[in-house]
Amino acid sequence: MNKLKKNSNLELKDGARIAVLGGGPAGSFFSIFALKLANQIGKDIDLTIYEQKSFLNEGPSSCNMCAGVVSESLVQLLAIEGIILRPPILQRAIDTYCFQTISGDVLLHSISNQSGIATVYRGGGPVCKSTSEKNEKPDSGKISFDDFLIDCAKKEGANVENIRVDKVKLNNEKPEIFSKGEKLFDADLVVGACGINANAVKMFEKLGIGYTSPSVIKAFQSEIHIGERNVSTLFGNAIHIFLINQPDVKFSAITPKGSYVTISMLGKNITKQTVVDFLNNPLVKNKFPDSWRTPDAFCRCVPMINVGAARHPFANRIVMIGDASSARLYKDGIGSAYLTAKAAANTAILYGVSRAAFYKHYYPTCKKINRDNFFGKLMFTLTNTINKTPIIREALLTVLRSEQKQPESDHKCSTVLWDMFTGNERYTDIFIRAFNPRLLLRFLINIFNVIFIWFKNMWRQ
Amino acid sequence: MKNEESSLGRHYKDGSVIFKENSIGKEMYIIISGKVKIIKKKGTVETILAILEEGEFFGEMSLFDNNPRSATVKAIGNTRLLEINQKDFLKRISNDPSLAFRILEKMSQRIRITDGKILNLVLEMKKITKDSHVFT
Ligand SMILES: Cc1cc2nc3c(=O)[nH]c(=O)nc-3n(C[C@H](O)[C@H](O)[C@H](O)COP(=O)(O)OP(=O)(O)OC[C@H]3O[C@@H](n4cnc5c(N)ncnc54)[C@H](O)[C@@H]3O)c2cc1C
Repeated sequence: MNKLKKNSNLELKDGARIAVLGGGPAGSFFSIFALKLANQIGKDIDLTIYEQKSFLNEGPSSCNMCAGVVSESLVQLLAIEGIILRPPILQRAIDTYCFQTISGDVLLHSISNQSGIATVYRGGGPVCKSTSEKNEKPDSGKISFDDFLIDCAKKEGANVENIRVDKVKLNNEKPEIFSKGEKLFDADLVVGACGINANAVKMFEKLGIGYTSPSVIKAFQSEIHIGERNVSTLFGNAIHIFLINQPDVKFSAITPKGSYVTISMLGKNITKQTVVDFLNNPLVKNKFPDSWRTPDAFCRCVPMINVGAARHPFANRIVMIGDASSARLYKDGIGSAYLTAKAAANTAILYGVSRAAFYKHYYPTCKKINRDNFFGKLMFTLTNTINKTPIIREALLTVLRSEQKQPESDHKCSTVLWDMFTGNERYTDIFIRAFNPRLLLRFLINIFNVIFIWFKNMWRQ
Repeated sequence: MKNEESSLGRHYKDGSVIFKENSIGKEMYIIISGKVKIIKKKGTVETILAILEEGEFFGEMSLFDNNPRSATVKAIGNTRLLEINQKDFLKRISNDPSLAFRILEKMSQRIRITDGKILNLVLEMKKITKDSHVFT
């Protein structure tokens, strides 16, 4: 506690130097907000983003590997901040979620009646395997969302160095940062925006500040080329969630982009074969053109996904943000990067860079996300159970379908599912709404209905 | 078709009314593409108060003061707007008050512009009354 007080006056003075390690969404958001705020209060800071990747090339090595869905709430937050997503960065605007189950499908339309969700490529797009794919590449150049955000940070005055930082040392008053054995500078603040897919988090763990990186699981992503017209006619503006009980698969979804669809899968030991099996599942196959065959090779990657919070994500002159700190469970990771980055930027510029300042003004944002994830876990367990129990699944689909048929009535169940899968609302709010007594009663009545119909059918047979 | 699929928000045709003066509204709008004009009607005379372009927002006043719309807004050309409803907006501001900075910044700029216009009008009126004194 004494130590906390002793360092509580570490403030960023004019000319202060900030090193942002990582130019993913968290790093860029931090830079944008820190520089904007500093400018607003007349503080002159020198901020450099160190990013090891170039986001301009195709394939996983130039990409921060994700499904690239920017949630409706983040699209709106960014628009308010003056960051507007337009083509070619925006690949497709989404207004519908389509839930495909073995008992049928159901379409949920955007509550706000507009195309409010964006799909993007994080890097320069999928690796092209055939000439037909190459012919459909957008010719307007830069399509990377991460690169677009870096450009926004540059406009605010950030310097960007395309190098890898391989060492951070804490011997002196200020942290020192190094690349290839060469000292870059003594930083007034080091921002760890390095995500969880690089070794950089280990570098911070070794600093002895108590930082422990978040727990992670592997996810599987593939980009399948089916041509722009097919994407439009077969998938339209809808993200497809498949609840099909494939062994070892917890979650699978198809996200439409320009001329590709992105397949995201979560589960144990997912391999290329799991993806091929998924594509060969009749429900999934049905969504693809008749003449279409699963290609032998396609752009794919196995990134990590954050499923638990980091411990002690800050110290004097050090703050960890984005995936390297706290992220919402399975959803809206870019939105969490925005939240943590902004909270850290506001703290650093307005309150200083001491451990105490970060504890008081930054950590509450992380704790809020972590607490909310507890309810997220409960909600995902509930959805899995529903999906695995045919009677309850059938009842849920009946409730959803009847709600969708009545455009004017309140769609309690649909909005719960919509917010849950779009990442639009906090899990805590969704949890409270899911346990609304009226909704539960309707659900229960439908379960009895389904049981009754089953018995009736059995009796007839 | 392609443009429709790859654009956020909602589409408004040239001349369509986004909202009318004195109507009740609980949404603010951000211009994704196109332009809008802000119109105020006095008797039969319509005056264009401003033309707003891509990236700008309008309708935010009703979110804060809950009063009816102060002017009519119409699309100029094909326009796409992102709509943000009051409840979502206030929830977001309560989570992150600094979100209001940009809106306050824009509102202050608009007040400054209005102040400038009022000053010019007052000076013009003073000149007119002075001139009329000279003639009488
Ligand atoms: C399969 C999958 C699907 C997902 N889908 C979505 C989705 O649809 N929507 C969503 O919102 N979120 C999604 N996420 C989560 C999202 O990808 C992350 O939450 C988000 O990318 C976190 O941003 P970040 O900036 O913290 O980290 P990252 O995006 O990982 O960026 C970190 C950056 O730091 C750089 N870096 C690392 N170490 C160094 C170093 N030593 N020197 C220089 N640079 C360095 C890296 O190159 C990288 O560019 C998904 C995640 C997975 C795994």
